[in-house]
Amino acid sequence: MKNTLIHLTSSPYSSIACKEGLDLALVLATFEQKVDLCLSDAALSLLTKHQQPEPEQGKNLHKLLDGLEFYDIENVFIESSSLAPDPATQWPGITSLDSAAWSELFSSYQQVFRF
Amino acid sequence: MLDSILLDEEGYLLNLDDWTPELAQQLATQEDITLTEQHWEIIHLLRDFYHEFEVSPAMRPLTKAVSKKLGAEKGRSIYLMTLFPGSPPKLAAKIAGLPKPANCL
Amino acid sequence: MQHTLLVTGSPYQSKACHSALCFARAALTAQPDSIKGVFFYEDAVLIGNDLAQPPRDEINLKQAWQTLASEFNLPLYLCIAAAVRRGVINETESKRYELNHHSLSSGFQLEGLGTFVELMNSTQKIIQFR
Repeated sequence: MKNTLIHLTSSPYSSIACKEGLDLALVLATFEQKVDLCLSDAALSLLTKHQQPEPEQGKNLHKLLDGLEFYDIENVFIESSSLAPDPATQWPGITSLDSAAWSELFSSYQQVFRF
Repeated sequence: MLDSILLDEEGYLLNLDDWTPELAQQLATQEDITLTEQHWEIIHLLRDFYHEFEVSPAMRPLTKAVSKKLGAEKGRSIYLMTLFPGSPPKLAAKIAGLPKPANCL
Repeated sequence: MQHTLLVTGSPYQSKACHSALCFARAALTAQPDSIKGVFFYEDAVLIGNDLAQPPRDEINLKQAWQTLASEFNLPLYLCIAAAVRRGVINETESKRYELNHHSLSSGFQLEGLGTFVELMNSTQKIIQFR
């Protein structure tokens, strides 16, 4: 078995890249593959609480974050310097890494897929 | 009886808002299932899961969610198979008026 | 060493399908079994749209993939969920959705992401083109 990191960088509302990246994560998990997530750039907005997208804007992918535990996806990493000023507005399940740990993250998986 | 316009080619609801408990009875009848209290607790759990996370669970997340909410005994796939034979996540999602789970084993 | 290629970039908005083609051609020419399969996901599935017609003076990317695939017996998989969403439909799906048309080009096949997981676990390295 391989361990996989899915790195989301796209805005959840500008395209369906985040959606398709998360779909892949769920499938990998369903097939009992070890998979972690990490978020950077525009994908960080996925973490903001109280999102209420209209159907035209896309699915509410934020809601899926709370469901990840049922897929045994245990880690959602971000780089600590990218944290929002007020952590209270963010999804609480994230693991934030300092710059060194963040850089190392990408070499600790057999494969990294970006969306 | 069921108006076939409400359903897609595989028998899943086209408009999720059309779902009612009465409709679930009819959908179940079409699948030769008589809904019992045990079925209903899974159906409600599935609907809660979908509303909470916006995704229909495949088998593994379904069993985990059932274990967590209804106890480990009911979270076994054998138990779910007796209620919803074949593929419990697919069949239960159909009766619960939810989208077919993606890439379901 | 066997590779799997994961192509996710749109054939129109990116060069992912072009770069992957060049890589695959070079790898297979050097060692004919070096790539076990190519899996197209996200907008890259548009590569399998039989109805798309490039201008005559541009590369026909779909045809180039088909040629490579038949020369080296290379399977080209399109993620079925991503493809159906985008109107790349084979005969089976066309019947399932009660449509009058199908649009999947020959040489490509629709498969679930489970096929990708299998490829992933039976090859040493995966390379994503996006």
